[in-house]
Amino acid sequence: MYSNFFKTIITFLIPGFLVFFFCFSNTIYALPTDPVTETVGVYASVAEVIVVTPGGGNTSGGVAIPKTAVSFSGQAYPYALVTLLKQGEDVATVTANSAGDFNITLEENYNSNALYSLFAVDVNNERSLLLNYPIVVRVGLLTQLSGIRFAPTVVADKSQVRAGDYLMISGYALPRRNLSVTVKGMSNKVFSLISSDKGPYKIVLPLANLPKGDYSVFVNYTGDARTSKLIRFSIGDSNIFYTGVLSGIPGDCNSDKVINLVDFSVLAFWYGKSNPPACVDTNKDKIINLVDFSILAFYWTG
Amino acid sequence: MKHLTKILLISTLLFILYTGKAFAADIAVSMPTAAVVGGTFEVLISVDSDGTPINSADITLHYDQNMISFSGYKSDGGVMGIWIEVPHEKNGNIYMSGIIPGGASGLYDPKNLQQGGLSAIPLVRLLFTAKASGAAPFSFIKTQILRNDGLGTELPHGEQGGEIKINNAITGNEAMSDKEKPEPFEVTFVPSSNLGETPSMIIFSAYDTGSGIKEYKINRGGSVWMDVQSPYPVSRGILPKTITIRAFDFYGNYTDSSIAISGLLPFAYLLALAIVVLAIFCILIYKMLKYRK
Repeated sequence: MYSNFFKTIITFLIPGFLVFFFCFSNTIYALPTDPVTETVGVYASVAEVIVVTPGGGNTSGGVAIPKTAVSFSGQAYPYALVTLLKQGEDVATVTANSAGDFNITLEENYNSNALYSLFAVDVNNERSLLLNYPIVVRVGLLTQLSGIRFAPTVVADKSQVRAGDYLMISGYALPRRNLSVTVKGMSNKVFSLISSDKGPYKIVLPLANLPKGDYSVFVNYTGDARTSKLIRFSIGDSNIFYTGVLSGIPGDCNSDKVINLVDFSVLAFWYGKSNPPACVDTNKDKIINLVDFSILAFYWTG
Repeated sequence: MKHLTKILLISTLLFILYTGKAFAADIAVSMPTAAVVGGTFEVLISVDSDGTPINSADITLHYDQNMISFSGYKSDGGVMGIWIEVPHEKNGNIYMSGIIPGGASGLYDPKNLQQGGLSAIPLVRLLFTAKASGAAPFSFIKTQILRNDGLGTELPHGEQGGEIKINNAITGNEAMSDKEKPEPFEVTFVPSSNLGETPSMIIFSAYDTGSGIKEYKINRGGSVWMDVQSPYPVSRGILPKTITIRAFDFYGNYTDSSIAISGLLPFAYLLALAIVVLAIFCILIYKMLKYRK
């Protein structure tokens, strides 16, 4: 009887445990499982051939050589300027259509590791975060990267909000999309809205129930892991509005709204030194370390 | 019973195999399986982040300095765009840290469709020269990888070292020789008025495709060259001055770049001041001579 009991346990429970383990192991291990809704696909095909004729002249008797090129397509914001950089240098700029779709194609040579970056500037001149795509460029093929999607641009009206007052958040997104505005800090809140027909969105966030302290706010397409810039603000005794002097970007010590080698060098100067200035100490822990460089890299504009 | 033992055995094996992979992300070294004494080979450090965007890393790699020597790195061999600490050697360890501005999730390769086209992120390609025959292992001493999330959150990851077999050369060797100078570069002066509490400084970053930038030296006039790193604080004096930065690669080739930093007083003022001082001096001499007579 006991032998049958153990037989049943081993036959059913162990396979059952294995099925459970493999299905839910991510939960058990708490592995990072960010919900990424942007699905960038990469594929290569022979798209066009160039006929090369030795010595020129007419094309009869020429050799057909497949063209090597890369192409990037996806969604930004309606009429946004989308710029493509190769190894940090501007190589092409296109304007997205009214739906926010864009496509850039670039003739190339073989490269085992070419670093391409893209950024978009909305019609209000607000810039997206930089997106990087290192690619293996294969000879004779058109390598296509599709499904790229920029997170919405975002602007706040205040760097400090008086307790009980409001914070206005605005920017550009794809037309008629569900957006989430997340406030994180002493207490967290998520607000929802839908972008307008032409892409702009605006929301006034009531912060009445939030305690005084430091917060950050970002916008994303609902369910998308890719977020906009993080805007830092605090809840205090008075309202401080953003002016042209303050950029609100962590690490932008010269307030030029650009994060580049100058800002990196300022951070590098204070690396390992005591009493760093507040603008350099991007996470306000009074230490300049790799975390501050990581935050700077996130906001990099070049 | 035999059947049950089989199930138990397979279950245990599967469990052990699966739990061995505790992290979704990995940092690894990869290299050729073998090299010859006197030859140079590449060691790629790459991160398989499982699609999570990363933007910075701090790495210390250990190698056997009796077997191999560090010969530099390839500037275009990885996505690490800006170095906080360029790869440098000390007591058998290579230290390096840097950022990937904007972050990266992986290397997109259309030939790698099994992985959805995404391969591990190539961070840097280090160059080594083989010195003696035998097995030369590589292992990580420290690895810190941060996510591109605006908060600098750590990416939990595993580490995979590697090993290369070094054989005695039968004929000749494949030693690398870099005879090319680093690319021309610019030195930029950033005045302190733009930077609040940070002093005025010069910033520079050179690029060398052959073996990477090993070090910089500075000359502030005269013949003395001192070690320097970017950024370098420079105070603006009354008089204008010229500063020259020399960028060296790992094979001793160098390129110079100079910057003229204007003084606090413009040249016209200095000229006028010199004329006034000269005039006063002449008057004094004239008065003295007249007094003696």
